[in-house]
Amino acid sequence: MRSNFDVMACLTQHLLFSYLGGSDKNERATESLADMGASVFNGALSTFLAVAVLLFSTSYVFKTLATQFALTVGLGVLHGLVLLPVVLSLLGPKPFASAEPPKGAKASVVSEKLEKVTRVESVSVHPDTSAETSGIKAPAVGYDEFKEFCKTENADEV
Amino acid sequence: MEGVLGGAKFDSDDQLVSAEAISISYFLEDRSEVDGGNLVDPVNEQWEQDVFLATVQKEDDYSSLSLAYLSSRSFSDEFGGEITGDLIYVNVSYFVALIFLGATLGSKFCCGRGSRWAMALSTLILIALATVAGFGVASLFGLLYGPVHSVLPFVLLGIGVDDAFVIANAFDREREGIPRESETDEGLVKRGSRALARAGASITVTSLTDLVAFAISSTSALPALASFCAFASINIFFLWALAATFFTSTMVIDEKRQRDNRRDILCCFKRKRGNADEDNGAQEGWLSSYFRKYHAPTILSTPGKIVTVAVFAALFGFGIYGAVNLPVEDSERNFIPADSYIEAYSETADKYFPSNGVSLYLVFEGGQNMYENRESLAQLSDRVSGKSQEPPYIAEPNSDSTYRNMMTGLHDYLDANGSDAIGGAALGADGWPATYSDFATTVQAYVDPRGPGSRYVSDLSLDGSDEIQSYRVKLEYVRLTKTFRGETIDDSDKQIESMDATREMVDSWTDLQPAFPYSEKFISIEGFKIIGTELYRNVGLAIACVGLIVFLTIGNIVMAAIITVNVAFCIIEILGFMFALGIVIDSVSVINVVLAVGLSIDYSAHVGHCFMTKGAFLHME
Repeated sequence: MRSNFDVMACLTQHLLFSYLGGSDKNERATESLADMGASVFNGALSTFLAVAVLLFSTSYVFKTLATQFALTVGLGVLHGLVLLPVVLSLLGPKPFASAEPPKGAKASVVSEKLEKVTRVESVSVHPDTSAETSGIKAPAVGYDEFKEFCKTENADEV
Repeated sequence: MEGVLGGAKFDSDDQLVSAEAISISYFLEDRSEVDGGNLVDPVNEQWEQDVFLATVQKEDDYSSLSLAYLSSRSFSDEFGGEITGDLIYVNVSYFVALIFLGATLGSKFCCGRGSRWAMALSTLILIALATVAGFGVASLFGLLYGPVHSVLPFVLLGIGVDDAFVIANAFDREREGIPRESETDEGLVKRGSRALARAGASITVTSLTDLVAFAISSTSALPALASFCAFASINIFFLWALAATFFTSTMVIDEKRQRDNRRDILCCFKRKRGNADEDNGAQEGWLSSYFRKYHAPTILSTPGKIVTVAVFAALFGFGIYGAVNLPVEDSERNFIPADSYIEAYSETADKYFPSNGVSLYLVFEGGQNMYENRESLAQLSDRVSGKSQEPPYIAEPNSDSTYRNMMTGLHDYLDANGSDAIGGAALGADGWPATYSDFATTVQAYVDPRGPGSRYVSDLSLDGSDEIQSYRVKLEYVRLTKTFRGETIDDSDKQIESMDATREMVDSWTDLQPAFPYSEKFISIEGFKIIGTELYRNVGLAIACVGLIVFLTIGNIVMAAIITVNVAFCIIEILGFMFALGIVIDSVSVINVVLAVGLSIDYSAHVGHCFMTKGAFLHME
């Protein structure tokens, strides 16, 4: 049985680690933004431009449509490109099994080395605290180290 | 006289001295017939146009008079006129979209390799085709076309352009850095199918969410909303179908054109310089770099996260406040084009013939019942007095304009003059004609246009064989207005209360025959009554369905929940801003909020889906 202190220490570390940066979720959110941000933004801009001319219409129906579209596009983009990435970096779920590996890492190489990482972690994380996320990180192996490791492996390959 | 003369002045002997306006009404005999479920009156409508409007619109004939006029057909005429007049905006929007697409769809602006002007044109053709096809099919189903429908071409333009971006983007990504020169025709087709596999999922999901959001609302109790949403669903289906077929095919042709180094839409001209490396499809655009280098690090830093969450919490609070206070209002007058003669008529009518309140009619059926309840009906004023300060807000029945009851009039007349002048029927002990048949003849003689009760002539309804069918009592509501942002507007909450209370009051008169209360205003009050509920019902259902689709396509309940809540918050904030900008709940704004669900889900779903495909290094077996 763990002492309360252990649990608290573990929880704090876990929270700090995965919620306030250092988590891979930040990286994933950044990648998602780099990938989709431009498309979403262009799509939103074009949607707005399609009705922008109606802002100058005298017709009540058209004016209302244009105003509400401007609101929708503005707030929709803010929610999709600002709030959502932040929320995902805090509460985002695990990726698909078929997801792309992070930039610069080869899947096969990663999984071998990963065995060790996950094994260490499974001992140190209390089940209660791991419910929120995948509960993945061993205290000893941070994301930065892992990135470093991926880069070197990749360099070897090439 | 006050109903006919505006601004009339009388001297001390009640003699008319002057007046500023006179109102003349022409009533046409009802020739309406039912055609295909709609009530139409072609003969009278033709007369209104060829005789009435043609006469009053001849300006030269009324040089010394200022004339304001209105006919039954005016509303449909003028709304139609407005739509055609605003068609110019459709053209401008298409042009703006063309320029925007030309500038952003390809990697170059000038016609050459990398530019996609031909595809920009193809996008517009795709949208135009989908719009025309959708309108055609929807009309084939007999869906009604209302004034709000004229916004559909713009909405479809906005949605269709997005599909084009997604497909063109997928074509670029599937290049994988292969030089254009080395691609064969077959290879291009293969690349096209890979691109469609990538983009197809995306456009299918977004089209499906839009389509379902609209399909749900097409079951609305508001005919305008239901029909608009059915139109939109059909149109979005065509957009999706044509984007996946027409646009993708032209895209392959355009890629061939790029390979052959032809000058875009001027495809007869080949370019001389063959700089193969100017566009390899692999580099990240400036916008993506911005998101990677500046945007993401800022919002994902710890202070950035705190600020973001705080700002959005404040926005959400503001949204809740606005959404709760968002008023339902009668915006019917807003539909009238500002330069229309209807607007001039309304203004003149308001100036010279201000109505004190809205008329209410209580219709009592059956001549026999009338005779049986004659005393109660004559004393009806007792039942409706003292109700001006509380629902149903009926004006005190103490003047001719607020209370008109034929039975009271007849009773008083018989008391004072007997029945000699109106048929001479024998009167019973209670002062009324002794038998029903006497009563019927007396009533008809009394309200005869030349009889003493001629002012009640429009209150009595006879059937073909001069049997009494029904009669009505005219009452009036007190004005139910409130001050909102400095303007005096109808108080819709009070009007709903007063309509409901009126019906309750009439239903509670169990000792009389069943009566039917009617006011011209009831139709819009019924609208007020359901439109608020309709807004929350339709938007709630749309969000729920869209959440379900996101869950089914992304396959992760946490992600689906995050995206759905994100969109729900966004909609609430939109309602908040609507309140701040003075947009009220009416059929137009409700349609736009349903649209907003479909649009804002797209923005979040793309990012959310992408997040799920990123960084699998902890999840691999």
